[in-house]
Amino acid sequence: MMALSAVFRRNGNYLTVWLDYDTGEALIRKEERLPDRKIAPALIGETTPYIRIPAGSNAVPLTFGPAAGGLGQAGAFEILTYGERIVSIRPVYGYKRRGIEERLINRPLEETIAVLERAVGNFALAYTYAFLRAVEANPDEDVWEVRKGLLEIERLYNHFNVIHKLAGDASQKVATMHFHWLEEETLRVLNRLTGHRYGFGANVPGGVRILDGRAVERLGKLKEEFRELREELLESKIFIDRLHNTCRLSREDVIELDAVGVAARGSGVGRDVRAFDRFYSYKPVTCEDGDALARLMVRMEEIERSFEIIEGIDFRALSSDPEVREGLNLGLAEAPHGDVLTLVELRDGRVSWIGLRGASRINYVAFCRGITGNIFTDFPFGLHSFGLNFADADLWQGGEE
Amino acid sequence: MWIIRGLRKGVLTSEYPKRVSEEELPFSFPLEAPAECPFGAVEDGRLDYRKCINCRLCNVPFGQKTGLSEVKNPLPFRKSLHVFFLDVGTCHACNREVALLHSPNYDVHRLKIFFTPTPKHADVLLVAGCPTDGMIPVLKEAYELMPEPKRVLVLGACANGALCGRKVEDFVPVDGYVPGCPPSPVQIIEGLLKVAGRDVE
Ligand code: SF4
Ligand code: SF4
Repeated sequence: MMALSAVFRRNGNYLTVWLDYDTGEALIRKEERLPDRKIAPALIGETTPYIRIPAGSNAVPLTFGPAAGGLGQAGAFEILTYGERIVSIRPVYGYKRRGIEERLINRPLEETIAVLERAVGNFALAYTYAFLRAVEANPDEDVWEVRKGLLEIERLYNHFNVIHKLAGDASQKVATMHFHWLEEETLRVLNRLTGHRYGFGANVPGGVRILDGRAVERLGKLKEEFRELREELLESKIFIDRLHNTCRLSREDVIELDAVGVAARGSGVGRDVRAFDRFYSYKPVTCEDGDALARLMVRMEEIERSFEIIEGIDFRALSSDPEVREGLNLGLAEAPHGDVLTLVELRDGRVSWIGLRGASRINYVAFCRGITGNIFTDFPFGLHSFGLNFADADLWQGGEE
Repeated sequence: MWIIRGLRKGVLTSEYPKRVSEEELPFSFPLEAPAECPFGAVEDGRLDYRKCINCRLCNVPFGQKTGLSEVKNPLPFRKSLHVFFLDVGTCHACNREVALLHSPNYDVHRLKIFFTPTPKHADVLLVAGCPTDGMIPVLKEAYELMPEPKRVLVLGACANGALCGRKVEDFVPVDGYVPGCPPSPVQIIEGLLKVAGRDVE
């Protein structure tokens, strides 16, 4: 079954991307009308219209964000509630629309990549991976080994960040500190490795910039620390209880909402771009339960897998001279939270049009489905278990419509 | 169990501002002014660090830098500092660096720096990102809500107009800048200490 992955506007029509996660087959279609999928309005930047208050009900609408409410980022949710229970909720997109897509257009590719890294900083290595997959015609295997390794390091620090937040929500003070420490230490490894804490500037056209390949050796110690911390954290009954049954997403929800990434895998749907990416040989990690705990367990296991992949890679500076692919091409990468998609049109070696779709754009809608009917105190657990952000959700397209 | 772990690991925290370790700084700052910059950070042969996105596309040596933050008028008190962080359109990396100020590696409470969830209790508005249409009114309102004396510290290149044309100082009065893309936690601490009129030497 094909999932609706992205919708853009082009020449008065819709340009849609459909993806079969079992085979990796992708279809790019021109359609006159918005496809009849639940997720379609969110993919063009609108979310479901605001919920009507049922007649005779005393539910109150409230807005969470964009500055208040402790989201810590420019984004918001509209929530309908009876005080305790969340009756209905939707994400509000657009606060992060800063027109960065236009800055990707018609400039030397290395500049386009520099801007793309700054579209979503904590998924920069995934976006540049996807972009370069779209534009390099005859990729150099060795270069891609290193890019893959960098993508897995990005996954490590983002997964640590999610666990840090979940532990913090459950007032596991020492655990939350230690996972924050792991996140920082991983950023330091990336800094030594690439010269930048978030790996900006590491993926360049045809090559990878690595300053000190031995920096990854330090991950060995972090792996040991992680294993001990995981053991101790999972022994905490209070922590597990808070996640168990919280923000549950069923397999049917995932299919209906075209959800991706960790959210899909936590509900038993093995959607993972790495399963069909030619530079990986990888079997997706899944968990059946669909709750915040299941998504945590997926992440815990993926951290192990990432360490394993990284250990097999010789990180070194490399360059190659691949041909660039002109015309419209698709590139995908499995970012820490879910897949990111870049649809790139190249003319004379420069980007003339680009469409970007982050997993957050889809998965915030899935989160809202999961958290509906839960009580308010579950909100942070549910939200943080998805690991999304609004910079990622608000990306869309640049260049002439 | 957890307590034992905490003790066993010993000191993890940065010694900044007494000392800054090489570990704590990115290697991506240009050490000389390049002839040209595609992102407008160079004008008349002068490099404006506030606009440099650390992309390393120019032809100069790169390395670590401190002392880049500028603060025009520090607050007249040196005790605790209350900070309200506002994202007006970031790529999320700046948000992560600010959040990491609370990690055991930096633990800003030791420096009496506290983050508040509302601008009403804040001395400093710490702003990151290029102001979007949706966030400009929020930015202005947050500024209005702060009690006097108040200061605005701007974080990162895109808040200074490097990527999207708009900059924070077009909308609220600005008292200081922390360059970087993103500025690392110690660089943010440096800016905050300078706002508080404290010694960072
Ligand atoms: S923005 Fe990039 S090119 Fe411009 S000065 Fe900074 S590092 Fe050099
Ligand atoms: S300054 Fe750089 S890192 Fe910070 S939000 Fe802007 S683009 Fe992202």
